Amino acid sequence: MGFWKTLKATTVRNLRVIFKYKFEIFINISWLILDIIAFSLLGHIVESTSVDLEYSLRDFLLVGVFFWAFFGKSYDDTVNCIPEEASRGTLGFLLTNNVSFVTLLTARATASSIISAVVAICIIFPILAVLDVLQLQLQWLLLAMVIFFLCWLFMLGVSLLVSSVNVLFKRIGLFSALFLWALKILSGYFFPVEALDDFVPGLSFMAMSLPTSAGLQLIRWVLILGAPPPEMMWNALTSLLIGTTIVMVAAIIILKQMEKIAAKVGTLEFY
Amino acid sequence: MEDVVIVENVVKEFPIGAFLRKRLRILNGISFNLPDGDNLAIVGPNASGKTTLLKMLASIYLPDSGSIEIYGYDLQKQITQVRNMISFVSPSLTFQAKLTLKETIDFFAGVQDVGIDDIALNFLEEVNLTHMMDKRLESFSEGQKAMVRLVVGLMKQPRLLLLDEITATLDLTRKEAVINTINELDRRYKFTIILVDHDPMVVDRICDKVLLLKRGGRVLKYSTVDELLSKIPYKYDIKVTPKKTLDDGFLKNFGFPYKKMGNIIRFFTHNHSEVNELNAKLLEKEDYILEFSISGVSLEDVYYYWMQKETSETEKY
Repeated sequence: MGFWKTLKATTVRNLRVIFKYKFEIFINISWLILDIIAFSLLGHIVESTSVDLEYSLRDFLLVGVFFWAFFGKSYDDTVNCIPEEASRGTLGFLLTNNVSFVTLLTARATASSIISAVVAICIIFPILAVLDVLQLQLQWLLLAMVIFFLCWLFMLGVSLLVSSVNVLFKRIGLFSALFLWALKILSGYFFPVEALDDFVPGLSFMAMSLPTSAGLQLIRWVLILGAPPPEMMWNALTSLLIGTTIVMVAAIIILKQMEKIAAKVGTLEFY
Repeated sequence: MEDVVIVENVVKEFPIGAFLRKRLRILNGISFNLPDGDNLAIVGPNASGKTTLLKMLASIYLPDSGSIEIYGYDLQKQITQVRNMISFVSPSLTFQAKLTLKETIDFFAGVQDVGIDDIALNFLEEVNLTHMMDKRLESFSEGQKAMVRLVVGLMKQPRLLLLDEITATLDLTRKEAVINTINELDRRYKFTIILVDHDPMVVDRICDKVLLLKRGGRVLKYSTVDELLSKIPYKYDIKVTPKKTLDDGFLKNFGFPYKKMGNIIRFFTHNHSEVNELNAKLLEKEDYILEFSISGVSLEDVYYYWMQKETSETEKY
């Protein structure tokens, strides 16, 4: 019960703080719209040469923008959470009140994701509809929601893992950005995952085992084609479920251990 | 009387240097017991480990060896239970500037799982902050923020309140208000306080016992405030700021023990008549003296006296 109350209080605070910085929200929305314009142009100009797509490259790219709009910003916000709380002196106080890093980070991810989801659904989704990208059928809406939720859990796990590195090594520079870019590339954000085999044979198979890769593929099937191929759907869902579970469990265990180590070496509060 | 805090032979080292191969020992075998009903001040020079010890009691750091028990719970094995009973307040708690006081209080009440109707609102009323509930914290003065920190720290009615230099950035008026508020709340809610503060006035007014640390993280003295003050072989000191450097020959003519501290000279006297005698002599030499002040012994004197004893200087009083 305590965990949920703390999570709610911290999430509400984070939402309140986010809404105090309206200019930042405006810039984030502007950035997403620029992404849509850039990828639309890219999809219009470039033709795929080595991989056959079931849909246009433009639609391929724009659904990628829509998908990552849910996760990119909240990942950045979550990874920056602990240094920010430490800079405000709240980290020590919260820890001494049994608020764990997992709770803090989950609350930050939740608050940021709520904003990202609202922006994606209210701004990007209508744009995709106007551009005639979407063929979503209502019967697959629940599946789409499950996919997004599992991908959110996976990205939360990745955020917790990266933050666990930050707990011990204070200046991690672009380490967190590297993770995000790697996940985006391997998920097929910029080009079809199958194209990776042109560089390293078999790499696409490994990439598709990542929940975000499987999730994006599923979302593309659901949004652009209207339905996923049944046999591929279950494979992708299995990847999504297993990968997310492994990452979340590992992340929580590692983060809790790092918290104990940081308390021992005395670096818990310092950034 | 039950001991609230039992610290036994606590050692704390931090890794330093390239690849963190070296270790810097901050606390070196600290032991003390704090009985219920007593408030404790941890004092000492910089780098004596005061804040480290306080943060260890707050469970932010864990000891490398030794043990800490708070209200019977082992800090390392029963950390959740310990954290339910303590509250740690530090001036580094700066809050989200864009949130209002109400939003900030709501947040901290939520994470501590307490309502804001009782202690928090009453306290805010006492310190005259209820009219600022809808104001952003960025508009608060340092004194007002110090009060908010106390509200946040006291909200869950902790059994042990840990205060880390909470009056450090405050002027005299604000400091007085904070001290009075803490004393009043202590009387009302009967919690135990352990604080770190450089200001002897704060320690004098709030604490019953003093843990005096020395550089290297060892205990120099652990005693009641009154006992420590009574051990000082003088009762008054007169701080003199000369207009120019005065040599020992000149100073010895006053006929009282003294010590030079930078460009300040401190004379030590035992009683009122000696104070009056020295006062008269200083006034005769007003051409050499910029200003002087008279005060009774304080914890500052306690610290210097015990440090001198420890380093075996040969001042005789």
